[in-house]
Amino acid sequence: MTMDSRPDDAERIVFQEALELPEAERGAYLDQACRGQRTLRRRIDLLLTAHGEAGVFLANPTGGRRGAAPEEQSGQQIGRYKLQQVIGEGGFGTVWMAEQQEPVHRQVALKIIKRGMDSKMVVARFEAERQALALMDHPNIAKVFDGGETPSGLPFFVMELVRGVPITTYCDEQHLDSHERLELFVQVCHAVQHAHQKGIIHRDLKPSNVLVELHDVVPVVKVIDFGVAKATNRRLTDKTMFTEFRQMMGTPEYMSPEQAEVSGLDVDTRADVYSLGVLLYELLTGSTPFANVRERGVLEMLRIIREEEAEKPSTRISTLGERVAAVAKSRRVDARRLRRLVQGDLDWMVMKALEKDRARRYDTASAFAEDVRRFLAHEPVLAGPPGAGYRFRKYLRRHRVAVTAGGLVTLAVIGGAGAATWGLLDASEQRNRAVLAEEQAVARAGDAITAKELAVKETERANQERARAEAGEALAKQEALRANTVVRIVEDMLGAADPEQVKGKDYTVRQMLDAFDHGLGARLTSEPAVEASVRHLLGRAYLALGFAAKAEGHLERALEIDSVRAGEHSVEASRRMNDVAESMAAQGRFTEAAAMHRSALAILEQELGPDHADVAAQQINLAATLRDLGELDEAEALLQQALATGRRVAGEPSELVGKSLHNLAEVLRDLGRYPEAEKVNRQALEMLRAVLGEEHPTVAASLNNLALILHSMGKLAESERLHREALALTRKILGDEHPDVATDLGNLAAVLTAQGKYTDAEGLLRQSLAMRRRLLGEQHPAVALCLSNLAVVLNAEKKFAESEQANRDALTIDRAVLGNKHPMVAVCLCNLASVLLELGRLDEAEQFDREALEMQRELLGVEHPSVAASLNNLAAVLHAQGKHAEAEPLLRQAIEMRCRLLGEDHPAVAQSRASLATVLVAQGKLSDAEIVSRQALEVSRRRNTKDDPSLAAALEQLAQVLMQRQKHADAEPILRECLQIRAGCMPNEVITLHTMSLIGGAIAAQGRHEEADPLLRDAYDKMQPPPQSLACKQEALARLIKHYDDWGRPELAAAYRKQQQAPPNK
Amino acid sequence: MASERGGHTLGATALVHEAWLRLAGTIEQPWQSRAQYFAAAAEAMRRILIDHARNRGRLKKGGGKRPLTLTGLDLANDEDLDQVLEVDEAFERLQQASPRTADVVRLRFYAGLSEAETAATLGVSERSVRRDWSYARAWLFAALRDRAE
Repeated sequence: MTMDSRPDDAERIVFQEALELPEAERGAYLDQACRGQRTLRRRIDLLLTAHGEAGVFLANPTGGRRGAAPEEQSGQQIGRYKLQQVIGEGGFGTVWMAEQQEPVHRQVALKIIKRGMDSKMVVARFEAERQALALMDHPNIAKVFDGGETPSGLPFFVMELVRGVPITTYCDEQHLDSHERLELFVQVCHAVQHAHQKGIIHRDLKPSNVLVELHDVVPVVKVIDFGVAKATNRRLTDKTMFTEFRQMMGTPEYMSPEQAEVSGLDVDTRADVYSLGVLLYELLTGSTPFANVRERGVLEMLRIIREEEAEKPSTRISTLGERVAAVAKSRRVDARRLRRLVQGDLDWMVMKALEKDRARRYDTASAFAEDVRRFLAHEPVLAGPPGAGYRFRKYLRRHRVAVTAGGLVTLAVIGGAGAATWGLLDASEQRNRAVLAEEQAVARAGDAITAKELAVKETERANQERARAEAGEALAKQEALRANTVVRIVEDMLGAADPEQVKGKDYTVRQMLDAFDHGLGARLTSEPAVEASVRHLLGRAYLALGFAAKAEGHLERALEIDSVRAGEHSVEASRRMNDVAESMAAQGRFTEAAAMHRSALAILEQELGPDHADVAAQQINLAATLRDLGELDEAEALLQQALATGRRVAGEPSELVGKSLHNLAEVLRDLGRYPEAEKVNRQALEMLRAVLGEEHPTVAASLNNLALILHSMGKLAESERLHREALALTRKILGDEHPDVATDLGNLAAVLTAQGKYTDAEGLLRQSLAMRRRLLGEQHPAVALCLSNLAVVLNAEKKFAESEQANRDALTIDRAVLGNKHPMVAVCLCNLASVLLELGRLDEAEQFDREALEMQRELLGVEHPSVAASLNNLAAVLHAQGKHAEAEPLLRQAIEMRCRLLGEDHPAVAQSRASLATVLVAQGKLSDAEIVSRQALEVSRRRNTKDDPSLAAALEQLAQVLMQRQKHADAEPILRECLQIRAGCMPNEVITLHTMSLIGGAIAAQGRHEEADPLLRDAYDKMQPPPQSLACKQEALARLIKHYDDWGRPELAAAYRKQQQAPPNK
Repeated sequence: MASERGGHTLGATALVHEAWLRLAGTIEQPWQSRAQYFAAAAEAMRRILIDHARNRGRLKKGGGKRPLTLTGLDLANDEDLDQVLEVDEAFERLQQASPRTADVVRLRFYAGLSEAETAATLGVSERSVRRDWSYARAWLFAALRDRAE
């Protein structure tokens, strides 16, 4: 949270500071802090007094009730019912035994909901539920007879009176063995199944709602409170209030993952299947799967329920410790036998019911019961050890092969469970969205109306929901069927491609996807929706892994299908368009991609209105492609819009705003507005951390980008530190072997290279390269990129031959994978040319640079930052060829273009200016050169810190020109400043020694030979033998010889001349 | 990687494009963040609460000096309802004066989050939540007492 400096913040800050001081010291502190501000002082004194006197006021803000006595009393008449005695008390309310007098005389249970909920709403909902509840008629279900409102306005329910105890208590007290427990459990399943057939979901199954009463001596299960949870809407949605939120926390142990979802999926009958699984777990082991869940915070608790895998019942039994003896004893066995009994079938049955993904659970309660029955009859059961899909999921989890450039889509989604979830989401997506939209509409409507009106609306809604459920049952079945088909196809495929069973360790993810792809045609049914889902899955997986061309075919097909299915201008089609656009952009077809993104954006704006999170998200994606196209101004404008929309609709902190900031920072960095970029990226990082938690791939991505910005700013040490942090984080989240780790290694290598730590950089790049080859195969753009970067380091290390080879390898891969014309191919050509330049193969270099330039002009437009860079590169080659006059206009063009696109102060402009100065010197245009160099230096001073290496470069440039002009005295202080910078950040580098030698030369030229001598000699001696520092060392030697000649020391000059004539071998 | 060489050769820039990690906009997010969710929940709670109190016609204007005994939000206690309304009025003013601490009140008082949850939701430390809560509580107490007197 930012600390804004409103006047009232002063009040807050001073108050808070004072409060933390011992009382005796406060006066003195306040005298000082409020000096001259009497009003402030008065306010603080007032507040401190208030603080002292506030007593119980808001002392327990989350506290709830103060143990108020129940308002009803024994003997009281409520409608037809006479209260007799309290038989239970829960988070929900109080349960009374009561006497019904008419139309039949009988004893009933009367549950009075406690105050704290809007009773009208509850009663309205309950009324809506009643008809359905009346349909239930099952010996294991306690009937619900009636409902109403007490005289004091509390809602109540009237139920069949069950004189029973919770099933777990009963089993333990009676020392039932596991078989007897299972038999009772089957009754529970049957009761639940009956309700499900009547369209009623319990939603709150737990031992206290599953009672056992004895009919004569026969134990009979009675499930109570059906429909109550629904009537009180105990769901986490945007409009359920905290009261319900807290109440729901009453029994988190039995809550299904989908119920723990905020505004998540609809709850369906499979939520009850999950709760049945928990119940069986407890009956078998004496504890629930997430036994200590209550002790965690609310959010953590919900996360555990949604995400963590429970241990198997048999595992739990072996980790019960001291408790195991008691647990076993109450089941009339010893601990070892209990464990053996549970191990195997019962483990798998329970785990099947507890699947996070409801599509993998038992379809129905009776299927669950049937499996239990089979177990009891010693027949083979349905639940089995995990199949190929399960093993594959484990494989993915272990190997962490999930990937994407953004780290957002993980490949795990194509694993068994992931695919199932995805498929299911796909299938019910539309329905969910409709429900969600309606809920939000209701919530918004609620803004304007009173609770009473809301209650009426709620009733209507409840009725509508039922009508829809009835009408939609066929549709829902169809959707479920489709989801299942998708899941089955994906599972079959993955089963066939089970990496551990079939292929051994060197199996790449690509091979697995290809195997899947290969069999796809035969598997697809005639159902277009199924095909769209499967192709979407496969396409996204390919894309996430960087195989964009493979992805595009599938994504394109999904777009076609959904354009027909949902309409060309539907929101569904726009999502598919976004996919296709991403795959185009990944292949360098930015213009097409941008057009496609624009179409998708237009649809979303049309369908959803401008103020919608999806619109903002689409703007972000379009902006990314525009950034690739070098349309930085438009990209910035779009991101600003997305940011504003995000702030309005999502608020802060939010992921949407965080991502907008993150992407905005990239564009600002491209524009050379580094301080702004840094600030924005830091905001993004902070926000993403707040929203997603520290350990999240998106947070790692944000760290990475911040490090890159700092790199650009020349804050190399801090950049390195952050890159290392990002790397450690990525490893922690995704494991050691993951494409994102390879990326982080590559970026760390880049900042090490900038610091001259070539050996370390080379090592990291080779590590990264090997990892990418293992995970992605040889033919992959990421492998090529790594080779390109390796080539740069090798070039810096003067290993020119190796560098050339690496560049050529990269080029070959990129051409094969991305085609002959692609921005990355142009990059490879440029890099290759720069090595050839070093190697003196100038004609070849010129040819490649020209080819790159043409390609970029065609793909990116004539005005593009990369085009400017290539102009600069071509000029460098021409300069080396001695064609200085040809180089000059190219550089002037590059400077102009860079000024226009990036702004006057951008470092790239400085770089072009430095080149221009050199070319001018070469042409003898010394005064022009001095002017250009001074301009460059001026800008560099304005934008860089005093210790920035690029400032050093600008200083040297000017000094060189001055020395050419024989202004040695002017050059000297400039060179000294340059040396100070370089000695600070790269003390032992050639470049630093080179600067020393230059200073020596400048001093000697002023006749101060004695002073110059040690500098010149030292610099020369300490330089590495050639070829590592060939040019610099030769220069330094020439300078040394000239110095001795001028000084009148011919013998020393001659001695050094010998070294010049006979260049040392090697 | 910036090239820096002696002044005699022009450095050709090796174009290195290593990995800007782009974050694609993710579409389909019912709730963008916990903070937003809880803020909405708190607002909904507030509204229902006020309606509830108003519907009961319990809002007494004026009246003599009464002790401020409200310890927390509890709809079961009608006695508290008057104070809840008064607190709410003061809260609206606090939102103007100190939005930051009002956020803490919204989550703690209205949404019923613990200190730790509030901190996690707002992305600040628990200590910061504690400090802001102290300030807001004193501020509200002072505001309410002023009214009562």
